[in-house]
Amino acid sequence: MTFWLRCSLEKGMLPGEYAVEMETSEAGKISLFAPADKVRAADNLMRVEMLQDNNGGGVFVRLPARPFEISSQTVKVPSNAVVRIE
Amino acid sequence: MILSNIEIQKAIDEGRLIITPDPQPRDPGEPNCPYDTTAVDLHLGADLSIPQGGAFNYDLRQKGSFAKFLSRNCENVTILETGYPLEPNKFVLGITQERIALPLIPNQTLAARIEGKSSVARCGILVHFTAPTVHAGWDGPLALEMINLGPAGFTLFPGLAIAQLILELVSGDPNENPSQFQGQSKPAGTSNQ
Repeated sequence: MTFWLRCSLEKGMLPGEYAVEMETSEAGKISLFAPADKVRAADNLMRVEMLQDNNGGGVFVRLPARPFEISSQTVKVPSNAVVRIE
Repeated sequence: MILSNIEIQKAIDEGRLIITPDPQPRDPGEPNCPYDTTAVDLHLGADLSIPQGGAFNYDLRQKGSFAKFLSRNCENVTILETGYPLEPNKFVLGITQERIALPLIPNQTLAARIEGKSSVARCGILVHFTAPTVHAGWDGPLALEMINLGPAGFTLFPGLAIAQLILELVSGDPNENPSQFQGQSKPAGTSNQ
């Protein structure tokens, strides 16, 4: 199973990357540059690593790159922002 | 401890370091060998991103859209066969031809630093600044933040040996244990503000 985070995507500064914006539970909107192989641009999804699922109380995920706005690649996001794909 | 060229090649053979395409030839006695005694050359890719000025200041506190803001305010250029003239005081972003991966392997994890080449530096070119470390776990090409501090233009062209990668063995294993976040209300870390 893979885990994907709903987000907003645009072309990045360099080929092979996307500018990604997402909503978090505790840090507001954040943004980062994600490698193209970590996104599904047509679906506005970015692949993340699931760290901890609080069963409806939010999900801790590891992002594929460090965001500009906070100092960690690990964030808490709303449970419904994560898509599970078999 | 910095890896020698022999140790770099051994790390590649053992999958502890991935450089794609594989740097060849390996023998320093052969022409165009990308290996120095303690480094391996990296080459400039064909794509540049040229940040554009405007009636704004970059402000990392502008919540949530900074990556998009940067992307929208740059010009993308593919370097032609004739090369791209990097004029004095001009700042551009480039990217390496090589993809670098540093897998997390217990007791064998590597980290790296990207450094410029002295031949390029003598022309006044900074190839990267501020962020030379390639952290353990990285996988991808490396962005180059290039600026011409010299008195004359400098021609950038694809395949130019513009940087070098220094490899080091990480002492101890990096902590990626998810349990470090349990019980914390703000695992995202400290805000930059």
